[in-house]
Amino acid sequence: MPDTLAQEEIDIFDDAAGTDPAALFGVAYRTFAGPVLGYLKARGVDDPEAVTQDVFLAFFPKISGLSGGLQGAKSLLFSIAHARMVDHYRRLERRPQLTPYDPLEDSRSTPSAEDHAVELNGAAEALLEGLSGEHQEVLALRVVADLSIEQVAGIMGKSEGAIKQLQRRALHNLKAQTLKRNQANHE
Amino acid sequence: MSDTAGPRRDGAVDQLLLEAELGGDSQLRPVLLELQALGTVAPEPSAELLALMAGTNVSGAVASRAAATASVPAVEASPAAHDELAARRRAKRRITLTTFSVAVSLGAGGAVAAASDQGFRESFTQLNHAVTSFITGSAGAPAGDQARQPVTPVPTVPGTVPAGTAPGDPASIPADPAAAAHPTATPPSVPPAAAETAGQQTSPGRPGEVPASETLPGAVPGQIANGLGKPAEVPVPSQVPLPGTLPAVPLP
Repeated sequence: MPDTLAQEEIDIFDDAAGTDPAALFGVAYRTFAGPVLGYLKARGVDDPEAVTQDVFLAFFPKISGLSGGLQGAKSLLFSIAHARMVDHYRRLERRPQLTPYDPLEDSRSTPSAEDHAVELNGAAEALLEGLSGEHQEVLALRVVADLSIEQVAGIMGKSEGAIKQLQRRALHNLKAQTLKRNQANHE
Repeated sequence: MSDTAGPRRDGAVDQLLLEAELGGDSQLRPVLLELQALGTVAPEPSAELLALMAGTNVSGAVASRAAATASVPAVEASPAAHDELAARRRAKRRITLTTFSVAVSLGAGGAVAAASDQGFRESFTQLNHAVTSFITGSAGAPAGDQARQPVTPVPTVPGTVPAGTAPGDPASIPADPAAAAHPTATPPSVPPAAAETAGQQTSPGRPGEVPASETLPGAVPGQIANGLGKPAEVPVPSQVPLPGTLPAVPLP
Protein backbone atom coordinates (compact mmCIF):
# COMPACT_ATOMS: atom_id res chain seq x y z
CA MET A 1 0.00 0.00 0.00
CA PRO A 2 1.36 3.43 -0.77
CA ASP A 3 0.48 4.66 2.71
CA THR A 4 2.72 2.16 4.41
CA LEU A 5 5.50 2.48 1.87
CA ALA A 6 8.78 3.10 3.57
CA GLN A 7 10.90 6.00 2.41
CA GLU A 8 13.76 3.68 1.56
CA GLU A 9 11.46 1.77 -0.76
CA ILE A 10 10.62 4.99 -2.53
CA ASP A 11 14.27 5.87 -2.75
CA ILE A 12 15.22 2.53 -4.19
CA PHE A 13 13.34 3.43 -7.36
CA ASP A 14 15.05 6.74 -7.76
CA ASP A 15 18.34 5.11 -8.65
CA ALA A 16 16.95 2.00 -10.23
CA ALA A 17 19.89 1.63 -12.59
CA GLY A 18 22.35 0.16 -10.12
CA THR A 19 19.89 -1.75 -7.98
CA ASP A 20 19.19 -5.43 -8.13
CA PRO A 21 16.09 -6.00 -10.28
CA ALA A 22 14.79 -8.65 -7.87
CA ALA A 23 14.76 -6.16 -5.00
CA LEU A 24 13.04 -3.56 -7.16
CA PHE A 25 10.54 -6.12 -8.25
CA GLY A 26 9.76 -7.06 -4.65
CA VAL A 27 9.18 -3.43 -3.74
CA ALA A 28 7.01 -2.90 -6.80
CA TYR A 29 4.93 -5.92 -5.95
CA ARG A 30 4.40 -4.94 -2.34
CA THR A 31 3.55 -1.41 -3.39
CA PHE A 32 1.28 -1.94 -6.34
CA ALA A 33 -0.15 -5.44 -6.22
CA GLY A 34 -3.14 -4.25 -4.21
CA PRO A 35 -4.05 -1.33 -6.49
CA VAL A 36 -3.54 -3.47 -9.59
CA LEU A 37 -5.80 -6.14 -8.20
CA GLY A 38 -8.37 -3.54 -7.19
CA TYR A 39 -8.24 -1.97 -10.64
CA LEU A 40 -8.77 -5.31 -12.34
CA LYS A 41 -11.60 -6.14 -9.96
CA ALA A 42 -13.26 -2.78 -10.55
CA ARG A 43 -13.07 -3.35 -14.28
CA GLY A 44 -14.69 -6.75 -13.91
CA VAL A 45 -11.86 -8.83 -15.32
CA ASP A 46 -12.26 -12.57 -14.84
CA ASP A 47 -9.92 -14.01 -12.23
CA PRO A 48 -8.27 -10.73 -11.24
CA GLU A 49 -5.69 -12.42 -9.00
CA ALA A 50 -4.27 -14.44 -11.87
CA VAL A 51 -4.20 -11.42 -14.16
CA THR A 52 -2.40 -9.44 -11.45
CA GLN A 53 0.32 -12.08 -11.32
CA ASP A 54 0.43 -11.96 -15.08
CA VAL A 55 0.83 -8.18 -15.08
CA PHE A 56 3.79 -8.42 -12.72
CA LEU A 57 5.37 -11.16 -14.78
CA ALA A 58 5.16 -8.93 -17.81
CA PHE A 59 6.57 -6.06 -15.77
CA PHE A 60 9.67 -7.90 -14.58
CA PRO A 61 11.68 -7.91 -17.86
CA LYS A 62 11.09 -4.16 -18.21
CA ILE A 63 12.51 -3.22 -14.82
CA SER A 64 16.03 -2.76 -16.15
CA GLY A 65 14.95 -0.09 -18.62
CA LEU A 66 12.69 1.65 -16.16
CA SER A 67 12.84 5.41 -15.72
CA GLY A 68 10.82 7.90 -13.72
CA GLY A 69 11.22 6.27 -10.32
CA LEU A 70 8.25 4.93 -8.45
CA GLN A 71 5.74 6.87 -10.51
CA GLY A 72 7.30 5.50 -13.67
CA ALA A 73 6.94 1.95 -12.37
CA LYS A 74 3.34 2.67 -11.43
CA SER A 75 2.56 4.07 -14.85
CA LEU A 76 4.14 1.09 -16.54
CA LEU A 77 2.32 -1.41 -14.34
CA PHE A 78 -1.04 0.15 -14.95
CA SER A 79 -0.33 0.42 -18.67
CA ILE A 80 0.20 -3.33 -18.70
CA ALA A 81 -2.89 -3.88 -16.57
CA HIS A 82 -4.92 -1.64 -18.89
CA ALA A 83 -3.73 -3.62 -21.91
CA ARG A 84 -4.69 -6.87 -20.18
CA MET A 85 -8.09 -5.46 -19.37
CA VAL A 86 -8.64 -4.35 -22.96
CA ASP A 87 -7.56 -7.79 -24.12
CA HIS A 88 -10.04 -9.34 -21.73
CA TYR A 89 -12.93 -7.38 -23.16
CA ARG A 90 -11.87 -8.05 -26.71
CA ARG A 91 -11.75 -11.73 -25.95
CA LEU A 92 -15.14 -11.47 -24.33
CA GLU A 93 -16.58 -9.98 -27.51
CA ARG A 94 -15.42 -12.96 -29.52
CA ARG A 95 -16.62 -15.48 -26.99
CA PRO A 96 -20.16 -16.90 -27.27
CA GLN A 97 -22.59 -15.22 -24.94
CA LEU A 98 -23.02 -17.09 -21.69
CA THR A 99 -25.64 -16.58 -19.05
CA PRO A 100 -23.87 -16.23 -15.74
CA TYR A 101 -25.01 -18.37 -12.86
CA ASP A 102 -26.84 -16.16 -10.44
CA PRO A 103 -27.13 -17.78 -7.01
CA LEU A 104 -29.81 -15.30 -5.99
CA GLU A 105 -32.14 -16.72 -8.56
CA ASP A 106 -31.36 -20.26 -7.61
CA SER A 107 -34.17 -21.34 -5.35
CA ARG A 108 -32.32 -24.46 -4.23
CA SER A 109 -29.95 -22.56 -1.93
CA THR A 110 -30.36 -20.15 0.93
CA PRO A 111 -28.12 -17.12 1.42
CA SER A 112 -25.44 -17.75 3.98
CA ALA A 113 -23.85 -15.39 6.43
CA GLU A 114 -20.58 -15.71 4.59
CA ASP A 115 -22.22 -14.54 1.38
CA HIS A 116 -23.59 -11.62 3.23
CA ALA A 117 -20.13 -10.68 4.49
CA VAL A 118 -18.62 -11.00 1.04
CA GLU A 119 -21.47 -9.03 -0.46
CA LEU A 120 -19.83 -5.77 0.47
CA ASN A 121 -16.89 -6.53 -1.77
CA GLY A 122 -19.18 -7.63 -4.53
CA ALA A 123 -21.10 -4.43 -4.18
CA ALA A 124 -17.92 -2.44 -4.52
CA GLU A 125 -17.08 -4.24 -7.72
CA ALA A 126 -20.57 -3.60 -9.01
CA LEU A 127 -20.31 0.08 -8.21
CA LEU A 128 -19.17 0.99 -11.66
CA GLU A 129 -21.83 -1.05 -13.38
CA GLY A 130 -24.07 0.98 -15.58
CA LEU A 131 -21.31 3.38 -16.59
CA SER A 132 -19.77 3.33 -20.03
CA GLY A 133 -16.45 1.59 -20.52
CA GLU A 134 -14.45 4.80 -20.67
CA HIS A 135 -16.10 6.21 -17.58
CA GLN A 136 -15.40 3.02 -15.67
CA GLU A 137 -11.83 3.07 -16.86
CA VAL A 138 -11.11 6.65 -15.90
CA LEU A 139 -12.64 6.19 -12.44
CA ALA A 140 -10.79 2.93 -11.85
CA LEU A 141 -7.49 4.49 -12.86
CA ARG A 142 -8.02 7.68 -10.91
CA VAL A 143 -9.59 6.27 -7.76
CA VAL A 144 -8.45 2.68 -7.40
CA ALA A 145 -5.06 2.98 -9.01
CA ASP A 146 -4.59 6.51 -7.65
CA LEU A 147 -2.92 7.76 -10.81
CA SER A 148 -2.57 11.38 -11.80
CA ILE A 149 -4.49 12.87 -14.72
CA GLU A 150 -1.28 12.94 -16.71
CA GLN A 151 -0.64 9.25 -16.15
CA VAL A 152 -4.23 8.33 -16.95
CA ALA A 153 -3.99 10.35 -20.16
CA GLY A 154 -0.84 8.43 -21.11
CA ILE A 155 -2.40 5.06 -20.40
CA MET A 156 -5.70 5.74 -22.16
CA GLY A 157 -4.07 7.50 -25.08
CA LYS A 158 -6.02 10.74 -24.66
CA SER A 159 -5.22 14.34 -23.87
CA GLU A 160 -5.30 15.62 -20.31
CA GLY A 161 -8.26 17.87 -21.10
CA ALA A 162 -10.19 14.90 -22.42
CA ILE A 163 -9.45 12.95 -19.25
CA LYS A 164 -10.61 15.82 -17.06
CA GLN A 165 -13.83 16.07 -19.02
CA LEU A 166 -14.28 12.32 -18.96
CA GLN A 167 -13.82 12.02 -15.21
CA ARG A 168 -16.22 14.85 -14.62
CA ARG A 169 -18.90 13.17 -16.66
CA ALA A 170 -18.10 9.81 -15.10
CA LEU A 171 -18.56 11.22 -11.61
CA HIS A 172 -21.85 12.82 -12.54
CA ASN A 173 -23.01 9.56 -14.07
CA LEU A 174 -21.86 7.65 -11.02
CA LYS A 175 -23.81 9.99 -8.82
CA ALA A 176 -26.94 9.47 -10.88
CA GLN A 177 -26.43 5.71 -10.75
CA THR A 178 -25.93 5.79 -6.99
CA LEU A 179 -29.06 7.82 -6.49
CA LYS A 180 -31.02 5.39 -8.61
CA ARG A 181 -29.60 2.44 -6.71
CA ASN A 182 -30.35 4.00 -3.36
CA GLN A 183 -33.91 4.71 -4.38
CA ALA A 184 -34.30 1.13 -5.54
CA ASN A 185 -32.96 -0.11 -2.22
CA HIS A 186 -35.34 2.02 -0.25
CA GLU A 187 -38.39 0.93 -2.15
CA MET B 1 -14.50 -0.45 4.28
CA SER B 2 -13.48 3.15 3.97
CA ASP B 3 -11.80 2.97 7.35
CA THR B 4 -8.89 1.09 5.82
CA ALA B 5 -8.02 3.92 3.44
CA GLY B 6 -5.40 6.29 4.75
CA PRO B 7 -5.80 10.05 4.99
CA ARG B 8 -3.69 10.59 1.86
CA ARG B 9 -6.05 8.54 -0.24
CA ASP B 10 -9.01 10.30 1.28
CA GLY B 11 -7.43 13.47 0.07
CA ALA B 12 -7.16 12.02 -3.40
CA VAL B 13 -10.88 11.33 -3.47
CA ASP B 14 -11.65 14.80 -2.23
CA GLN B 15 -9.40 16.29 -4.83
CA LEU B 16 -11.10 14.29 -7.54
CA LEU B 17 -14.47 15.54 -6.36
CA LEU B 18 -13.18 19.09 -6.33
CA GLU B 19 -11.84 18.74 -9.85
CA ALA B 20 -15.26 17.62 -11.01
CA GLU B 21 -16.87 20.54 -9.14
CA LEU B 22 -18.61 18.10 -6.83
CA GLY B 23 -16.68 19.00 -3.71
CA GLY B 24 -18.46 18.09 -0.49
CA ASP B 25 -20.82 15.72 -2.22
CA SER B 26 -22.01 13.46 0.58
CA GLN B 27 -23.43 10.79 -1.69
CA LEU B 28 -20.57 10.29 -4.05
CA ARG B 29 -17.78 10.38 -1.51
CA PRO B 30 -18.59 7.12 0.31
CA VAL B 31 -19.02 5.37 -3.04
CA LEU B 32 -15.61 6.52 -4.19
CA LEU B 33 -14.01 5.56 -0.91
CA GLU B 34 -15.56 2.14 -1.21
CA LEU B 35 -14.25 1.89 -4.71
CA GLN B 36 -10.84 2.96 -3.55
CA ALA B 37 -10.81 0.30 -0.85
CA LEU B 38 -10.74 -2.30 -3.62
CA GLY B 39 -7.07 -1.53 -4.07
CA THR B 40 -6.03 -2.08 -0.50
CA VAL B 41 -5.85 -5.84 -0.43
CA ALA B 42 -2.73 -7.26 -2.04
CA PRO B 43 -2.95 -10.78 -3.39
CA GLU B 44 -0.47 -13.43 -2.40
CA PRO B 45 2.31 -13.64 -4.94
CA SER B 46 2.38 -16.79 -6.99
CA ALA B 47 5.33 -19.20 -6.89
CA GLU B 48 6.72 -17.71 -10.06
CA LEU B 49 6.63 -14.20 -8.66
CA LEU B 50 8.10 -15.35 -5.39
CA ALA B 51 10.99 -16.89 -7.31
CA LEU B 52 11.57 -13.59 -9.10
CA MET B 53 11.39 -11.60 -5.89
CA ALA B 54 13.51 -14.03 -3.96
CA GLY B 55 16.33 -13.42 -6.42
CA THR B 56 19.02 -12.01 -4.14
CA ASN B 57 16.99 -11.48 -1.02
CA VAL B 58 17.29 -15.08 0.06
CA SER B 59 20.43 -16.77 -1.07
CA GLY B 60 22.42 -14.54 -3.32
CA ALA B 61 23.57 -14.61 -6.87
CA VAL B 62 23.25 -18.31 -7.59
CA ALA B 63 19.61 -18.44 -6.66
CA SER B 64 18.86 -15.31 -8.58
CA ARG B 65 20.64 -16.66 -11.62
CA ALA B 66 18.67 -19.88 -11.36
CA ALA B 67 15.42 -18.03 -10.85
CA ALA B 68 16.14 -15.70 -13.70
CA THR B 69 17.01 -18.49 -16.11
CA ALA B 70 13.99 -20.46 -15.00
CA SER B 71 11.42 -17.75 -15.21
CA VAL B 72 12.62 -15.04 -17.52
CA PRO B 73 12.12 -16.99 -20.74
CA ALA B 74 8.59 -17.78 -19.65
CA VAL B 75 8.07 -14.18 -18.72
CA GLU B 76 9.38 -12.91 -21.98
CA ALA B 77 7.28 -15.35 -23.91
CA SER B 78 4.08 -14.47 -22.13
CA PRO B 79 3.80 -10.78 -23.03
CA ALA B 80 4.50 -11.61 -26.62
CA ALA B 81 1.82 -14.26 -26.48
CA HIS B 82 -1.04 -12.12 -25.26
CA ASP B 83 -0.15 -8.48 -25.49
CA GLU B 84 -2.88 -8.08 -28.01
CA LEU B 85 -3.41 -4.39 -27.48
CA ALA B 86 0.06 -3.50 -28.71
CA ALA B 87 -0.35 -5.70 -31.75
CA ARG B 88 -3.68 -4.12 -32.50
CA ARG B 89 -2.26 -0.64 -32.22
CA ARG B 90 0.48 -1.61 -34.63
CA ALA B 91 -2.09 -3.05 -37.00
CA LYS B 92 -4.09 0.16 -36.82
CA ARG B 93 -1.02 2.17 -37.70
CA ARG B 94 -0.33 -0.20 -40.56
CA ILE B 95 -3.85 0.31 -41.92
CA THR B 96 -3.31 4.08 -41.96
CA LEU B 97 -0.02 3.64 -43.74
CA THR B 98 -1.55 1.30 -46.30
CA THR B 99 -4.43 3.66 -47.00
CA PHE B 100 -2.06 6.55 -47.45
CA SER B 101 0.24 4.65 -49.80
CA VAL B 102 -2.69 3.38 -51.88
CA ALA B 103 -4.02 6.92 -52.18
CA VAL B 104 -0.60 8.22 -53.22
CA SER B 105 -0.08 5.50 -55.82
CA LEU B 106 -3.58 6.05 -57.23
CA GLY B 107 -2.86 9.73 -57.55
CA ALA B 108 0.45 9.07 -59.24
CA GLY B 109 -1.16 6.57 -61.62
CA GLY B 110 -3.90 9.01 -62.51
CA ALA B 111 -1.37 11.71 -63.18
CA VAL B 112 0.65 9.42 -65.46
CA ALA B 113 -2.48 8.33 -67.34
CA ALA B 114 -3.54 11.93 -67.85
CA ALA B 115 -0.06 12.90 -68.99
CA SER B 116 0.12 10.04 -71.51
CA ASP B 117 -3.11 11.21 -73.14
CA GLN B 118 -2.32 12.89 -76.48
CA GLY B 119 -4.98 15.58 -76.24
CA PHE B 120 -3.89 16.50 -72.75
CA ARG B 121 -0.30 16.75 -73.85
CA GLU B 122 -1.21 18.89 -76.83
CA SER B 123 -3.27 21.23 -74.76
CA PHE B 124 -0.41 21.42 -72.34
CA THR B 125 2.02 22.26 -75.13
CA GLN B 126 -0.39 24.88 -76.42
CA LEU B 127 -0.60 26.37 -73.00
CA ASN B 128 3.15 26.33 -72.83
CA HIS B 129 3.33 28.07 -76.19
CA ALA B 130 0.80 30.63 -75.13
CA VAL B 131 2.71 31.37 -72.00
CA THR B 132 6.08 31.60 -73.72
CA SER B 133 4.68 33.74 -76.52
CA PHE B 134 3.04 36.00 -74.01
CA ILE B 135 6.26 36.39 -72.07
CA THR B 136 8.50 36.83 -75.10
CA GLY B 137 5.87 38.91 -76.94
CA SER B 138 5.76 41.69 -74.39
CA ALA B 139 9.54 42.11 -74.41
CA GLY B 140 10.03 40.56 -77.84
CA ALA B 141 11.31 43.47 -79.90
CA PRO B 142 14.10 44.66 -77.63
CA ALA B 143 15.03 41.16 -76.67
CA GLY B 144 15.26 40.04 -80.27
CA ASP B 145 17.38 43.04 -81.21
CA GLN B 146 19.66 42.66 -78.27
CA ALA B 147 20.08 39.01 -79.02
CA ARG B 148 20.94 39.71 -82.61
CA GLN B 149 23.06 42.80 -82.19
CA PRO B 150 25.80 41.47 -79.92
CA VAL B 151 26.80 39.17 -82.79
CA THR B 152 27.76 42.27 -84.78
CA PRO B 153 30.99 44.07 -83.90
CA VAL B 154 31.22 45.58 -80.44
CA PRO B 155 31.51 49.31 -81.36
CA THR B 156 28.08 49.32 -82.98
CA VAL B 157 26.32 48.07 -79.85
CA PRO B 158 26.00 51.34 -77.95
CA GLY B 159 24.80 53.06 -81.06
CA THR B 160 22.27 50.47 -82.13
CA VAL B 161 20.59 49.82 -78.85
CA PRO B 162 18.80 53.20 -78.74
CA ALA B 163 18.19 52.89 -82.46
CA GLY B 164 16.53 49.53 -81.99
CA THR B 165 14.16 50.86 -79.43
CA ALA B 166 12.71 53.24 -81.99
CA PRO B 167 12.37 51.21 -85.17
CA GLY B 168 9.56 53.32 -86.53
CA ASP B 169 11.78 56.33 -87.10
CA PRO B 170 13.87 55.72 -90.25
CA ALA B 171 15.97 58.84 -89.91
CA SER B 172 17.44 57.96 -86.51
CA ILE B 173 18.68 54.56 -87.56
CA PRO B 174 21.11 55.57 -90.27
CA ALA B 175 22.35 58.41 -88.13
CA ASP B 176 23.41 56.39 -85.08
CA PRO B 177 25.16 53.38 -86.62
CA ALA B 178 26.86 55.59 -89.10
CA ALA B 179 28.16 57.78 -86.33
CA ALA B 180 29.34 54.72 -84.44
CA ALA B 181 31.02 53.01 -87.36
CA HIS B 182 32.58 56.07 -89.11
CA PRO B 183 32.83 58.92 -86.68
CA THR B 184 34.71 61.22 -89.05
CA ALA B 185 33.24 60.47 -92.46
CA THR B 186 29.55 60.11 -91.76
CA PRO B 187 28.56 63.36 -89.99
CA PRO B 188 28.56 65.32 -93.24
CA SER B 189 26.84 62.48 -95.09
CA VAL B 190 24.06 62.02 -92.53
CA PRO B 191 22.13 65.27 -93.07
CA PRO B 192 21.83 64.70 -96.85
CA ALA B 193 20.71 61.15 -96.26
CA ALA B 194 18.16 62.28 -93.73
CA ALA B 195 17.06 65.06 -96.01
CA GLU B 196 16.80 62.66 -98.93
CA THR B 197 14.72 60.16 -97.00
CA ALA B 198 12.52 62.95 -95.70
CA GLY B 199 12.02 64.24 -99.19
CA GLN B 200 11.31 60.80 -100.55
CA GLN B 201 8.71 60.15 -97.90
CA THR B 202 6.89 63.35 -98.75
CA SER B 203 6.79 62.45 -102.44
CA PRO B 204 4.19 59.70 -102.76
CA GLY B 205 5.06 58.45 -106.21
CA ARG B 206 8.55 57.18 -105.56
CA PRO B 207 9.28 54.15 -103.43
CA GLY B 208 11.47 54.93 -100.42
CA GLU B 209 13.62 51.84 -100.34
CA VAL B 210 15.55 52.41 -103.50
CA PRO B 211 17.43 55.58 -102.54
CA ALA B 212 17.79 54.35 -99.00
CA SER B 213 19.48 51.19 -100.17
CA GLU B 214 21.65 53.19 -102.50
CA THR B 215 22.95 55.58 -99.91
CA LEU B 216 23.36 53.13 -97.07
CA PRO B 217 25.69 50.53 -98.60
CA GLY B 218 28.06 53.27 -99.48
CA ALA B 219 28.17 54.82 -96.06
CA VAL B 220 27.75 51.79 -93.78
CA PRO B 221 29.14 48.26 -93.84
CA GLY B 222 26.99 45.27 -94.77
CA GLN B 223 25.91 44.20 -91.33
CA ILE B 224 24.46 47.60 -90.54
CA ALA B 225 22.74 47.78 -93.89
CA ASN B 226 21.15 44.51 -92.91
CA GLY B 227 19.71 46.08 -89.77
CA LEU B 228 18.91 49.27 -91.60
CA GLY B 229 17.08 47.67 -94.48
CA LYS B 230 14.33 46.34 -92.28
CA PRO B 231 13.15 49.52 -90.61
CA ALA B 232 13.48 51.34 -93.90
CA GLU B 233 11.32 48.78 -95.70
CA VAL B 234 8.63 48.61 -93.07
CA PRO B 235 7.41 52.24 -93.00
CA VAL B 236 7.96 53.10 -96.66
CA PRO B 237 5.64 50.54 -98.32
CA SER B 238 3.00 51.31 -95.75
CA GLN B 239 3.17 54.99 -96.53
CA VAL B 240 3.67 54.77 -100.29
CA PRO B 241 0.66 52.70 -101.43
CA LEU B 242 -1.76 54.37 -99.07
CA PRO B 243 -1.82 57.82 -100.69
CA GLY B 244 -1.91 56.16 -104.11
CA THR B 245 -4.81 53.85 -103.40
CA LEU B 246 -6.92 55.92 -101.08
CA PRO B 247 -7.64 58.73 -103.49
CA ALA B 248 -8.21 56.13 -106.21
CA VAL B 249 -11.03 54.48 -104.35
CA PRO B 250 -13.35 57.45 -103.63
CA LEU B 251 -12.85 59.15 -107.04
CA PRO B 252 -14.65 56.60 -109.24
